[in-house]
Amino acid sequence: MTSHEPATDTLLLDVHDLRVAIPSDSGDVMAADGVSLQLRHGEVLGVVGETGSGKSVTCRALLGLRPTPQSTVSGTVAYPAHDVDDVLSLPPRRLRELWGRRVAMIPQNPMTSLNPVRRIGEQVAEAVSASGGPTGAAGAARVLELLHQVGLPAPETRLRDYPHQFSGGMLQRTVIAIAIAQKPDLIVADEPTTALDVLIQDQILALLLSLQRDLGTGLILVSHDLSVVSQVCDRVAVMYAGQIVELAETATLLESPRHPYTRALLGALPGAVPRDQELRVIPGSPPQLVGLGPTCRFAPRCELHEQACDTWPTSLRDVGPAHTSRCRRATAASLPSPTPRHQETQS
Amino acid sequence: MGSSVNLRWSRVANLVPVLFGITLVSFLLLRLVPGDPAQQILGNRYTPEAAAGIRRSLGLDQPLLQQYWLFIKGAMTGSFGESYQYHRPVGELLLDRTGASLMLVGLTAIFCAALSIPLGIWAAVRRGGLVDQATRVLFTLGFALPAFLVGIVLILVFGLKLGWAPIGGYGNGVLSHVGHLVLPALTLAIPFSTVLVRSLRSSTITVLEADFVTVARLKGIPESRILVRHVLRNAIGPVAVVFGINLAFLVGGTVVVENVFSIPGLGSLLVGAVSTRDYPVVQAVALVLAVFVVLVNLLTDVVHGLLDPRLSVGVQR
Repeated sequence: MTSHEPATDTLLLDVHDLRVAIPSDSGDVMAADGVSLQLRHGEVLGVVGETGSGKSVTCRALLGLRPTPQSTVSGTVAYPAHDVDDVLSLPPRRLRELWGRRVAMIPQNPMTSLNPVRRIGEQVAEAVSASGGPTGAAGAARVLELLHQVGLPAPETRLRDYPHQFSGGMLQRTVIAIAIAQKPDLIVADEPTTALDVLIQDQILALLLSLQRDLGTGLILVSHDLSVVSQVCDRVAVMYAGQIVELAETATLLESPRHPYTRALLGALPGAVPRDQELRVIPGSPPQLVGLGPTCRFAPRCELHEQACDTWPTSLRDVGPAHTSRCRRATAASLPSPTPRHQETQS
Repeated sequence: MGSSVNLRWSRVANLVPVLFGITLVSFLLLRLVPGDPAQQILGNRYTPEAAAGIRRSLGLDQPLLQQYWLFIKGAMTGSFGESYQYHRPVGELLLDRTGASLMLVGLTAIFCAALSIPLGIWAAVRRGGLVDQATRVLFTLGFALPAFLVGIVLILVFGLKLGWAPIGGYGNGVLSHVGHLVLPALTLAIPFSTVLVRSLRSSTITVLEADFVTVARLKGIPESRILVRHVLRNAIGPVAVVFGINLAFLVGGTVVVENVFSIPGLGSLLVGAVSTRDYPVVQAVALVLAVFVVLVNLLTDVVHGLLDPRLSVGVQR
């Protein structure tokens, strides 16, 4: 579906038609429903969406993680550079190898990302020594090097602490140290700053990006904050109700969004709207991810909604160079403005 | 550090009123139930005059409060008086009998750990699998079956049919003691383990879903090491609490089981003493068992604190 070719020969990540179904009492919750995307080496991809849009589950599935043991995951997640055709059907041994050396994850809440009963140093050392890394004195030196690298103050003494003696920011630095211990090719950061104080958020994000640049790591940055993502990402995928609704280079997405949901998100950004105008909110709330059809899932909240939208099966279509959208009304030239009728009812 | 130490000392200080209450209740209950030590001692030779003489010599003719005070005073100095039945100091009897009971409880604890830790973790990892289903059924059974019935079934099968283990008594020498205690300890451990297995299963499931387990998995370390290093130690804390709560149940069980298997422990001493109205022995054994329960509860607290650094370093979170 996506026509743009990556710059390098081998992609880091190639996802095709990823679906994650989580059984529930009211039917299967489709947390990811036909997600396809690609990532180049060293690229930073933002994944944006509201809470419950499936971005977290989707990104964990990229690492071969299931939300629950009962969930079914289909589609393919390939790591072409590492000869992995599909991480979803990888035998446990090879999956562990991929986890240990090639990929890493930074979960949302640093308070729960570290084992409360093991010392900080021990937990970093485990990441260092896993997959045949250095142990003993060499391992300890590497642990210190990592903790210095992530800017943990006084690591020589703090590595004997337990996680509950650390602040949220220090914990997230430690989690980042664990993530980069094996110099992975891909880091999935699942809202890495959401649980932190505002002042700390910027520090952690800056740290993550400088490490990403130094190591040449691919980074998938999951966020519900479009302003954060737009500052740091090469490309942005906007997710709604388990699907990617628009995917484009960051600048393109910001300047000429081709999906009304993206446009609405941009309109809700404090910086994007002149000071004398009110921030726009998106009316309604996202749908439950159970029993949704092939038609547009944003239709009930959409200002461009037409009757034809209710019968038209959506798919990601090219609307420009390296730019895809699911909106029926999006064309390469433009996305229509809301009808005047809509404007009148407001005044 | 200071606050946690204070916390522990305040727990120890709490023991005093608890133990005081237990002595009071056991003392009063004994005197409320019908029956007369003098009658038990005299048996066929009973005459009202002889009985009155015995009561006077045992101090049973004095007011209740006075008797209680004498008992407390004695207990404080480690003297529990003399058994009416055995004509020996109660302290000596306790020393004779405590070893067997402690060994029984210790062996039971080992069996409990050996049964419930692997089963609980297995049931959690393979949810809905054979072990999970089987322990669910056993949980109901183990809870419903009284200890003496489990004991009698074990005696029948392993003692009489298969002849693998002695069916009663205590033997001579430590090894023989252990051999004699296998069936009684299993009798206690099987129902007790069902509770522990289910509680370990549920706490393990909670821990398995924690982010730190995912972070650990992504380090590429084998699943077995994840279970041992990251899951077990976090999952076992809540089980220690369940263990402490159910400990009184275990001690009550030893009383029954020692009688079923004729083990010369505190439990069988207690049952014998109750039926002969051997007041000093009953009071002393009740006190010892109470101290034991309270101490083990305190010990589980300490162990819980050692397992979880958040509890031992103080209130800072």
